[in-house]
Amino acid sequence: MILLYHKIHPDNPTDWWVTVNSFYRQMAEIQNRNVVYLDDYDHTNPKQVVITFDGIYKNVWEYALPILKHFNYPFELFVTSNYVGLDNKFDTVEPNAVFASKEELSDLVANGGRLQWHTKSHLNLKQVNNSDTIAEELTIPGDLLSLDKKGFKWFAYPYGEYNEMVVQEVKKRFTGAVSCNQGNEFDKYILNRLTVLNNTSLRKQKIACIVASYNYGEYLIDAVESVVRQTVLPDEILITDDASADETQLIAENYARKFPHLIRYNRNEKNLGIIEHFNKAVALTNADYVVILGADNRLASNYIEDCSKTLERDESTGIVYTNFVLFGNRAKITYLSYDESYKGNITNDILFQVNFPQFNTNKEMLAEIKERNFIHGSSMFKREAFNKAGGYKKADDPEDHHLFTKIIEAGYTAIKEPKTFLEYRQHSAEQANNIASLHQQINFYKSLSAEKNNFEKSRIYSFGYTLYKAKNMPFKKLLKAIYRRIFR
Amino acid sequence: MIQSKTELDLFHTTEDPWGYENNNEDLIRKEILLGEIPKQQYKNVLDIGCGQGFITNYLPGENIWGVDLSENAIEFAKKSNTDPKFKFIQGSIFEIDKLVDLKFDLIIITGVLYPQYIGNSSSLIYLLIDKILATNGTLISVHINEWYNCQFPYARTKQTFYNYREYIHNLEMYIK
Repeated sequence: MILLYHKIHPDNPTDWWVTVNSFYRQMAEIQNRNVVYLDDYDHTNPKQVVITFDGIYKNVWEYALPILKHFNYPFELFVTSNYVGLDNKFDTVEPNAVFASKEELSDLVANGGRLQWHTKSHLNLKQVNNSDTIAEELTIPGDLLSLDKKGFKWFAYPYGEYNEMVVQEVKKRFTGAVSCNQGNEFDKYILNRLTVLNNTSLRKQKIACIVASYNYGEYLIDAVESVVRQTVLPDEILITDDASADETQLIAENYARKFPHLIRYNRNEKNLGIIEHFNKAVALTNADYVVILGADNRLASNYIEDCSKTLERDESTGIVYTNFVLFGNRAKITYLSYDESYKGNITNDILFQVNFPQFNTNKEMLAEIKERNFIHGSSMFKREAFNKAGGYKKADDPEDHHLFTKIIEAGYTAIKEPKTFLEYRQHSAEQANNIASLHQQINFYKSLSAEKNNFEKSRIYSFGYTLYKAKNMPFKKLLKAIYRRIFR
Repeated sequence: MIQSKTELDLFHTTEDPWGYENNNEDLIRKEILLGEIPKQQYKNVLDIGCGQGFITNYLPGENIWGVDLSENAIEFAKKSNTDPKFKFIQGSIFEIDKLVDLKFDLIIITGVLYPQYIGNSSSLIYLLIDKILATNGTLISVHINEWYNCQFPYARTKQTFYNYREYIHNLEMYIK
């Protein structure tokens, strides 16, 4: 697969601009592929990816380069020489964008880029039959040639178009050439590229995140926000509610409305209990990888990115687990109950890190997991492994411990991803609302009032909202009762 | 499109363009932020999007840097504070790792991570800030909650909300 990008920028005014966040996500999605230069590209190897840019625009140097460096990827730069250091005024349809200067091109080369040829003037060569014109467009000026000793062996057809004469001339001068629409997958002189758009996904496996609430409405906003602020978003988010008697439904329905293509809401009319509820929730999602987040917990912002990368790496991996950080008013007590070998850093007496072990063999892993659980309930697992293990089952041990033991017994390995973590809230059941979560709810109701629909314009809503804003906490119970009545 | 340096410079041709110095709500938010900074010795401190130095000038630490995209804002900041331990530099958040070759043990970022300044680029900003934040360093982010869409990849030690003008401010503290 050969990827084609033009501009990488915080904004995307047209399809030719991919946002920085989308570019980051796409680069994260190919972490288990082999990213290579065109010189090393073998079209029969499905693991290989080549990253190419046409232009070259300054925003590639500004925004794409630090991301390419972070992932340590090689990349190809097809330069149109007449515009080096100028802007795209000639292109009246596109918003203004500046081309990279020679210094910026040099810096790109020094950091893994390779310069290739994209003609002098970006002339569409399809209708050109004059060999002098073709020769002129294919000739690389010496000052550019000297910027990259290893480059300029590959050519990209302007607009992806060519005729037979052009291909013959290209063959005399280059080891290969790329198109984007008029080529194929196997001919080295007319290789097609995939034009990457903002919403292009480069990974086959999809990810579901299930946020499960049973009367955790007061923490639900915090949990969902930690999911929608991921560097790599899940493909689907299901907020699932085991017949909560609190504000779970109101909050969840509004999230589903705010993110109609991402978030769905399931409410069990009767309380099913954790095992039946979780099995139902997994069945309601379709993705290959699944994470179940308790609505009282939070994901670090790189959780989905790093766990999915590690889960994808080997077919035999069934589960990816992480360390966690305990927080909340019972965090210390829980921390002290852990085995010495599991205890990690304490930050400001607020956060208590628990470090879980890693194992080389399934045998060692099975021996440990039978002693104590080191795979927390929000670990990411493959649906296929979940199904093989028969899902969550009633057992003497907790449902997640039982499931993960069964998955390992079925022959899958569990791998620890050390770069990310779960934020695991420790609170007492009857704990009063903490100020932050209460405030978050106020913000939530405030944002609802900003985008008023008929219900929200109603008196009952504004009454409820006023109560929520009231500093007088005793009213809160009354408000909950009112909302419960409305939404039952 | 995200605001350019030219637009911001135009804005910063006057002193204190948002009227922070005479607004009680801004004086309060400054006190809240300063009060939340953990009491310890800081060697290198950075204020990203420092503007004319409204917060920067009161930060604790041995060496304090303020960075802003607007050259005019930096000129006002320099004029307002001639103490040599304060250094004000013009530059973009997207080159923040290249402006000062240091690791910071305290980074403050207030009113910067809004779509009008950063568009859709939070993932890159996490990468760049990670390069300059020392291990165990503290990062404090203060933003109008309605416009803020970020979450740094560190454990969050604190989150507080308070009223600010007609908005809600969200103060988050992270430790790397």
